[in-house]
This record gives sequence, structure tokens and C-alpha cells, in this order.
Amino acid sequence: MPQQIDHHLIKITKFYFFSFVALMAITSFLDPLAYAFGNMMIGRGRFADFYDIVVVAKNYPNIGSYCVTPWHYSFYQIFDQFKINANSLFIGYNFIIIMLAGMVVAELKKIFQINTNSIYLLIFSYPVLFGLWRGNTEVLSFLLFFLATIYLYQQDATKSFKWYLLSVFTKPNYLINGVIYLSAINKKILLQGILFVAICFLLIYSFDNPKHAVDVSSACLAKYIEAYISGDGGTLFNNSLYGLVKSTLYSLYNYHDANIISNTIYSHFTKYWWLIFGGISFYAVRKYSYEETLFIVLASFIFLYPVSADYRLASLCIPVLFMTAINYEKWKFVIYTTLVIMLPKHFIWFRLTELDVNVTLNSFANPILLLIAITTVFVKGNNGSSARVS
Amino acid sequence: MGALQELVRSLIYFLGVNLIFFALTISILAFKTYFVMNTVPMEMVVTILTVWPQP
Repeated sequence: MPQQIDHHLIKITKFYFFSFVALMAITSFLDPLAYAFGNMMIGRGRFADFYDIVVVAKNYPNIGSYCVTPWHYSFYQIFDQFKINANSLFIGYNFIIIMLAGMVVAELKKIFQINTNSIYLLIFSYPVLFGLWRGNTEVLSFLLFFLATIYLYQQDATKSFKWYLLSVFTKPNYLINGVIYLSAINKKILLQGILFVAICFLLIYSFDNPKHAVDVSSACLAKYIEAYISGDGGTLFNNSLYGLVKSTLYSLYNYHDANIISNTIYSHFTKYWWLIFGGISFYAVRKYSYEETLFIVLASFIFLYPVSADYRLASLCIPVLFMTAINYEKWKFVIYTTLVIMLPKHFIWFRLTELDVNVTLNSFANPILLLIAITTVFVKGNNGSSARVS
Repeated sequence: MGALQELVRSLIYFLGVNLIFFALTISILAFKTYFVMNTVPMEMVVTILTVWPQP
């Protein structure tokens, strides 16, 4: 029996989409703020990353990119063997995204009576398109995870678990979202999952050595951390608690001291963040309903994980959609806060002139807004009275 | 049938949203440079147009 979705979602999506367009227009006309626009949206920088990744996958030890997962690497190796060029790969990648988006909406239609136009605006929103242009597999993984959550919502845990595993293959970070399956999974599904992983592993193994792929991936992650988390690039792209701490340090101390202090904090933070995240997630799985658990897990992951880029905010679309469908009035505040977070605030930069460091507004605003949203769900949550997957 | 319809619809939306951002980028650039330099640098627009789908 499909549930009736109200018109609020359409209003929210229009608000989200057109406020982004307005923000883009305003920031480009105001000169101090236009710096970001000129650098981020115009010229080659916007599209170069996709081709970088293809080149990286082809010529391994010369690593020039940041975002190559084991799947990514194997994927491009397979395409390289069939002599498929980068342009058709780009078109193919985009077509996969479009197909998955179509599948997501077709499945959503089975659960909710919705105006699909607004869902498309939400799916092809700024974080998604930006990720797509940069060749980041976050988008692919996000859509696969979206499908997985829809099947879980339809009480089809087996099918959901398979889509979830595919999502983990495209981006291993999504492994952490497995906690939402704790209440849904049984032995049979787990065995099927292991079989599925074994088949995928063998498939990759037939093309290349998996250890080699993992080496490439970990080298790229180390390079990313060196540039954006330990280096000064980290002040520009983080939405996490660590990003907030680091941006604050840059505004308090000089460049050298801020780097030393923030690196010390990072080395401690990486040891303990997952303990806090695990505690919150296990508590949420036991005490809260499906939509609330999903929101708490995803949002607290973005909040606590030090290496969290802008694209990851797109995954918050999923719980927001379900919350809108179930009980809009109760979650009005959370939904609006989340959509404001998803607006591209790293168009608004301010330069700390003494230090010659650029800081974005989202480094300060997003973690605080995320924390407010998570706390609201924790306080207002209905402690498991709504239907749960069993 | 429903899934195919959604596929076509998502393709149209993807291209449409892309086109909106593309048109916005070009027009904002043109306006900005017009107010700064009193001319529209056509070679810059042409460069972006040619660079759009290419590496």
C-alpha cells in the first residue's frame, strides 16, 4: 500500500534548488566572494579529475589523484584491457548514474505517491553533479546505497544487503553504514552476502592482483590526507568536527603553529572517533526507528569522520526523504537544517590575510548545524515505536 | 514499462539540470566580464564551450 507524501517535499526541493542558483549568482557578482566561483566552476579544474583518475589507473606507480578505490582501479583496468577510451568511459559512467537514478525513483514510486520531478532535482543536486564531474565514485556508491535502503524499507533485507555490498565495493567508506543492518540481518543473508563478496573478489582477481589494487587505493588515500587533512587544503573541504577545530586553529594561531596543533589533534582523533561513532550507532539501532537510525548513523559519520568531503552530504537525502514521508511536522526543523547544510557554502570564502589562508564558511557552519540536527533527532526520536525491519 | 519511463525521465532531467548550470556559468561569466571590462571575451566563452565534454 503506497503511502501518501505531502507537497512539502516539492516545496523543500524547489527551495533547495533555487536557493543554490541564487547563491551562485550572488557570489559571482560580489567581488571578494567571486574568487571561489572563478576557481571552482570555470575552466578545466571542474572536469579534469575524471580523466586524472583514468590516467592514474593506467599508469600505477605515478599516482596523481586522490580518489582511487580498489573497485575504481579494477574497473579502469578492465576498460583498459578492452581499449575503451576515456571519453566513452565518462559517458558510460554518467549513463550508469542516470540508470541508477531512474531505478531509485521507480522503486520510490512503489512506496510513496510522489511527484517524481522534485526527487530528480534532489538527486541531481549540487553535491551529486559536482561529484560526477570530478569522477568521484561517491555518487555511484550513494545511489547503490539509496537502492539498498529502499529495499530495506520494503522489508526485503536479502536484496537490500546485496545492493549494500555493491555500494561498499564502489567506495569502502560505506562499510560503516552496515550498522543499520544489525537489526535486519540473519545467518542465511550473511552467508549469501559472503558468497556474493567471494564472487566479486574472484571477478576482480581474474583481471588483476587485488593486493595491488588495495595498494593503489591506500596510497591515494594517504596522498589525500597529506594534502587536505594535514596540509592547508583541509580548511576548505571539511564538514566534520575536525574541520571546525582546524579552521578555528587557523584563525587563532599562525600557519605553522596551527598545522602542528591540528596534526596532533588529528593523530589522536583518528584513534578514537570510531569508538564514539560506534557507541552512538549501536544506541540508535537499539532505541530508535528506521528513519531516525538512518539519519543518526549517516549524520554522525559525516560529523565525526575527519576525512569527509562535500559529496558525502548527498547521502543525507535518503533519511530526509523518508522523514518527510512519515511525519513532516515533527522533523520540519531537521529537514530544513539538513538541506541548508547541503547548500554549497564553499562558494563563500574569506581570506585570513595575515596568514594567506583561505577559509570557507561551511567549515564553521556545517559541523555546528549537523550537531544541532543530530541532537534534535536524539531528543525528539520516538524510541522505536514505529515499524522496524525484522 | 514504468522503469523505462523513469530512465528516459531521469536522462531528460540530468541533461536539463546540467544545461541550467552550464548556461548559468556562461551567462554569469559573460555579465561579470562585461561589467569589469565593458566587453564580452568571446574566446573565453568558446574555450569553455570546447572544453566542456573534453579532457
